[in-house]
Amino acid sequence: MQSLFFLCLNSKLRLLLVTAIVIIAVNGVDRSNFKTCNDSSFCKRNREISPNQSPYNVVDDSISIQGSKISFDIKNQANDALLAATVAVLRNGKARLRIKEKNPMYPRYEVEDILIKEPDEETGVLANRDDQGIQLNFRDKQLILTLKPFRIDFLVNNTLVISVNSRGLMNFENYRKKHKPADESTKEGSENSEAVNQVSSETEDVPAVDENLADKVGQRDEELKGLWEETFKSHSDSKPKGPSSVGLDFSFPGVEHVYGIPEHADSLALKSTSGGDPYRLYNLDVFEYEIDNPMALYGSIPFMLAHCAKSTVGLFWMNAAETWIDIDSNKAKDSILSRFASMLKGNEEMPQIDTHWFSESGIIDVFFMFGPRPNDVFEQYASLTGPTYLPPLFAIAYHQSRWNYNDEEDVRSVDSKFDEHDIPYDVLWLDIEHTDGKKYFTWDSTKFPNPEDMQKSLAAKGRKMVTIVDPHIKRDSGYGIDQDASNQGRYVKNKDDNVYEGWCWPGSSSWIDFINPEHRDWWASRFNLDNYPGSTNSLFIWNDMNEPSVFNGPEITMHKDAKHFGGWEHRDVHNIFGLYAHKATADGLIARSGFKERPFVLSRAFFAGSQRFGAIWTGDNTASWEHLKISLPMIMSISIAGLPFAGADVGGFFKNPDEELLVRWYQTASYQPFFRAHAHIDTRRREPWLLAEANMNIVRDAIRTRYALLPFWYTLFYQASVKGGTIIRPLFTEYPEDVSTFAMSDEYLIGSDLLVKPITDASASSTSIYLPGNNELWYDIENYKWFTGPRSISMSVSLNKIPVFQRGGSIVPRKERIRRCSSLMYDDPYTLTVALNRKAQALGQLYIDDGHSFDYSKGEFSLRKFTYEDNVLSSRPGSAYGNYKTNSWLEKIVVLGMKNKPSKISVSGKNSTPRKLKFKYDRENRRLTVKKPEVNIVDDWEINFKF
Amino acid sequence: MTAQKYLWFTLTCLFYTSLLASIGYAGSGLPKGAQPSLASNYDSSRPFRCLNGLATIDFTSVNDNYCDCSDGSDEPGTSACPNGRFYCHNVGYKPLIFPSSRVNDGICDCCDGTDEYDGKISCQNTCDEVGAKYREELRKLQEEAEKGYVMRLQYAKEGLEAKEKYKAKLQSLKADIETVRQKASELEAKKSEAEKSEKERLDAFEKEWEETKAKKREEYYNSKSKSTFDELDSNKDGSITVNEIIGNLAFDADGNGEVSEEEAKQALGEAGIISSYDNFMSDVWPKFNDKLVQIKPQGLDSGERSMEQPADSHEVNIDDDIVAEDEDEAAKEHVAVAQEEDMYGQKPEHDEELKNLVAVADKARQEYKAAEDNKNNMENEIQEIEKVLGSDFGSEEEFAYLRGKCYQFTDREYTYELCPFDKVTQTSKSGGSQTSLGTWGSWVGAENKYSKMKYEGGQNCWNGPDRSATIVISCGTEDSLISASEPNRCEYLMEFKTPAACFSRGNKNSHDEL
Repeated sequence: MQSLFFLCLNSKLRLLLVTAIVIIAVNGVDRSNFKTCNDSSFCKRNREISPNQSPYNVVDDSISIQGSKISFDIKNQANDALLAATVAVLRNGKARLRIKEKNPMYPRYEVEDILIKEPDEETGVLANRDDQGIQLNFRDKQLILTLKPFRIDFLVNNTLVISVNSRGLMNFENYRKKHKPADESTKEGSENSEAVNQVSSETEDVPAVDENLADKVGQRDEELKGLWEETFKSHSDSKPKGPSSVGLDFSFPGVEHVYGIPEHADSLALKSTSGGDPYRLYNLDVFEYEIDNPMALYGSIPFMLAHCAKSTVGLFWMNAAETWIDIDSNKAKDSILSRFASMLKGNEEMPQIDTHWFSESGIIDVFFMFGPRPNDVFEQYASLTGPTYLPPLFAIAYHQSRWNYNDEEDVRSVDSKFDEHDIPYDVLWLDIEHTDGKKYFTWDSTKFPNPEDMQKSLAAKGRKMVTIVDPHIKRDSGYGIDQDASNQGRYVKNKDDNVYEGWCWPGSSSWIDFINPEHRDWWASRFNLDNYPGSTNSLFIWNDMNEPSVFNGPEITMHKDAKHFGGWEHRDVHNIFGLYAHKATADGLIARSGFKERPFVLSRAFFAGSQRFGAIWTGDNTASWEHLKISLPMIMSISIAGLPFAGADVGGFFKNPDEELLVRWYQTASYQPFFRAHAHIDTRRREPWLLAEANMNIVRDAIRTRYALLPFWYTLFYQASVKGGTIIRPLFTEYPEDVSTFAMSDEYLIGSDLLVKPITDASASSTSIYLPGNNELWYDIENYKWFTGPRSISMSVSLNKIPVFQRGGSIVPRKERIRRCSSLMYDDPYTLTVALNRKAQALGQLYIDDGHSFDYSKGEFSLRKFTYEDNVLSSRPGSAYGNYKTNSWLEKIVVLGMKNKPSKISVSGKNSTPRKLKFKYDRENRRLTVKKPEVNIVDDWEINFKF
Repeated sequence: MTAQKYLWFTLTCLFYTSLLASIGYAGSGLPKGAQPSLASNYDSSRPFRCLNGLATIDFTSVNDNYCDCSDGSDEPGTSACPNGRFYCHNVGYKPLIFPSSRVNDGICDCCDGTDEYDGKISCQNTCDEVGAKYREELRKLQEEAEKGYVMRLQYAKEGLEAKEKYKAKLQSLKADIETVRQKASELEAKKSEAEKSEKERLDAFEKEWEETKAKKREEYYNSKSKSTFDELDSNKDGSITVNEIIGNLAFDADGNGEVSEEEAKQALGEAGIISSYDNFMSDVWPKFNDKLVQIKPQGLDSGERSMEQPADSHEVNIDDDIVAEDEDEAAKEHVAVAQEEDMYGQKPEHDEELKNLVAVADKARQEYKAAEDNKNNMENEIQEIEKVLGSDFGSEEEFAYLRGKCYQFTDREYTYELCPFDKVTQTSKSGGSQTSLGTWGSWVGAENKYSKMKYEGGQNCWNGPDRSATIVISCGTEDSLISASEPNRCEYLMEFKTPAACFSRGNKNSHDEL
């Protein structure tokens, strides 16, 4: 939401204002605001490492094997620096490699709070050792540790899937003493010892290190610039601890496609970075971001999926510092270890993707996941960072936002217009202008004199409100939050240990240090109804600008030498900062409800694990067809990285969409997990009723379709919250052997049962759709026409048509009585659409709970499993637990692909005699509609089809 | 009703549906939620034909909580059809029709409570209360509308009268304008002729005076040459040297305020000396006589003044500087005029003939100007009247009286001003200049074009459009601007009440629905 941010300024900032206007006036992103690899000294250093000359050897006599874990030291032959490493085989097809400094001069930051628990180690691991290395055998997998140089290879079913340091790009910059440059010294012979003495006298509390080591490192590295200080534009990074980057290469033999590492506005299948910049992970507020490039955006998840028809593996680089990733396509022969040479026989041209990861600080802590299929990797990853939380039902319904709805009358009017036009919505959003002078947790008392009444009148119709609460706090001694944060020392400090100040929406601001768990608790308690005047239990929260965005900071973010809790520099924790703010806010909402209600918090910044705290969106996009199109791969990439609850601003944040674009955007977003319309303050209003009537009707249909499918979405969210995994899915994740799907991102699946092809081109009159799966049947959900996969079909798509297909073999639950909002549909009956496969079978699930509380975790839920088989549709429990009762009943069954008309259909329940049902059969479309089975949806029942 | 309602409360959702078909409106046989105007379609003794004619179903399927008709007509009383419409009678208030998805959703939408009957919520019948309130409001509105309507008639009458007056006025102006134009052009010719004679004689007079002046000037300079030589020859040795003239600004060729040695030598020749009065007269006097005669008195003065200026100061107030220079110029001018009189004597008066010619020309000019002003005024008036007559002040000229008036509305930050048919402006309460939100564009109401005014082409928004304002006009007994907002950036929306918009009689409003 960055732009026009200088509404009230003091004179000191006029110059900045002028600069800002110049920036804003530029069309699209101002790239010069953001670093390229060349502007980042550690990126350059790591990129310049020559392959195949790794100085890192495993120290022979340091190796110890305990069960599934090997511990060993690694020595850098160039400077004798020692590293302590462990590699462990974990349960369910995972492994972990950790490399730290053996005797660090300063502590190195290790990411906390991201793993949901310490991962379980694998059992039954067998170790073999020879003079070249160690081999661990576990289940159908092998880990081979080679000693000189250090290298690890993983094999699954005797096929090499991951090689670590096979290109020898590993780099671990030990903390060191600053080497005094030669020209500052008068005596040649004594310069080194003087320099060392000087530094050590300044840093007495630092553990002693080998002075010779420091010298050697110093002499070699001092030639490189930027080790001890670097500047970018007018910003200087004092780098008090000097260089500290860590890097390692990973190769994926046999693989031509890698995915993930969001957030980038780029294709789903990642591109080779040779010749350009690496993909960058550094949470940044990028004004009017461009598409199709590897620039960093608002969030960072260092998770990558490597996939080919035979195997799928995952890699999670657990590091919260700035990270760059190089990707290159190669041939495998160059890096295959000689002992695997036999694997290449007759296949010398095996493709391979090489990746090279490096972060500015922290340790090497990397997880490997061995699949064997994409959905297995997603589960393995979820076992580390956690599955998505189960959002309250309203959160996956439609959200109406704008910067800004101006006052209570505006809110009342927008709310009533939805009803007037019979368009459902669940949540109305208030952006920053609702506050008193951008002081979060306050209200502009003129525009919003009665915020509680306003929320209550929405709540009377089952609707919610969201207000924005950003992590920057206005410096204003009359503002309680600032007073408390100031007096209680809760702000991030600058390099000189004073409170860090920067510019954001309110003008001069400081940032709560969310790295400190006590500050997070304090922040969470701000959301108590008593502490947030004018809030009610139907108010939820939006955390924007939590990268953090600092208007006058380097790259519009915080200085890397700013100081956090525990003495950590901002450089160590940058990418996790936003997650902690998100988490603290979500915890606050939970505590507000007495730990009864599920929270809803939208965040712009994210990191691995953010899926446990709420939704994210793709930030400040633009009203253009390109941005609509890119929303698909962006959301899918984020989804692949374990964060399924993602969306893009409907209509585009910046600029004004024309009606066709807005209509197509609604159609697309109604099939994306987080569904919110939002717009910049400078745009024209674009609420659905402002469209021409015909277009408004299409938008209404799109939103209503979403509401009808809420039970389906909610069930998918439940499944993902239990096992992890995606909700909207690239085709290759469900059809992993179908090579033609590997780079496909213009269509996708919701769960595994609905295939969606959004229309993202202007004036499109037809589109082609690929329908995957051998002998898979696909039914158009509008006209029930069916097609057999795998094949491409062409379909005409007038403005009211968005192609959606239901997979044969699936059962999709819907609630077809669309009310004003989702909670009003609570007791409504269900319709089941049974799409038969070639064997006339189908399977589906339905999850039900109260839609808002944590009671489901105590068994207050019902998971139903519907099966159609042998001409019987039956409802059985889908899990051993769950005893939720509902008034909802089954009003209709639609069976697709029914070749013959039944002679009789009857329903029988647990304690009732069979009852005959009315039905209609449409022979042409092979569609059977069964009227009112009238069984309770959570009961066990059977419906028999007689022919 | 009460008994039936009680019954509904006791039913569970699974059982009530089959009973619904028999439950209609107050026993009339009309199915629940159906519109009375469609009653004939719902005949329980026959199968039900969907209103769109696409299907026919058993009457027991009407309101059985399952959607059979694609137009939703079989389920007016349940939420089963996505496109169903529910009708509540709301006896005591007015009937309401809304999407049947609002039936049994836990919100009381009908004041008679008939939309909620599954027991989830108990809706009181508030129609009498709501109806009374509504009737009172309606009565007030009607009163206002009636009063406004009468006022509107008056405004329309006045507007039409004014229009007629304008038309008449225009006619008379147009009738007169040609004569006036004719007269003006005649007087212009007369003026030109007089001015021609005047100019000839005046030019001759001036020419004569210039010649006299040139002669006098030469005499004057000659009379000054010897005394100037003597003054320059300060040591009275009969010759003039560089030292003697170095302080005399007449020799300051580059005008920098001092006479350099080079400048002096340039004046006196390479030798730097003029050895006699004759040499002075031949070499120096012709080149410098102007300056020597004129500059002498103030040369020193000006030099002193410039010495007082602080050479290195950056804090000189630029305005002061300019003032100082202006003063210098004025002083020089004053001296020059004095010198001229000294040289030429008084300029002679015009002779009688010339005076006469000037007087004749002055008179012709005055007469022409009066005629031209009169013509211009009339033309402006015609233009103005044509503009007014070309404007759309409503079908009966009822809005005409608003022209030339302005109305204000003040909110927390701004004062907005609407001057109908002219402009809309905004002024910040904390001061600052007026911002134009647009000038009169056109009527833009959709059904009734006189329900909305559009003002366009206001001050441009930075990085955005020109400001514009839409004024929504509604009936009221007073002219007043009652709200102003900015729903889109730089697009303003205001509400204006005026009797001119009271288009219909109060008592004609829908009384019958009560």
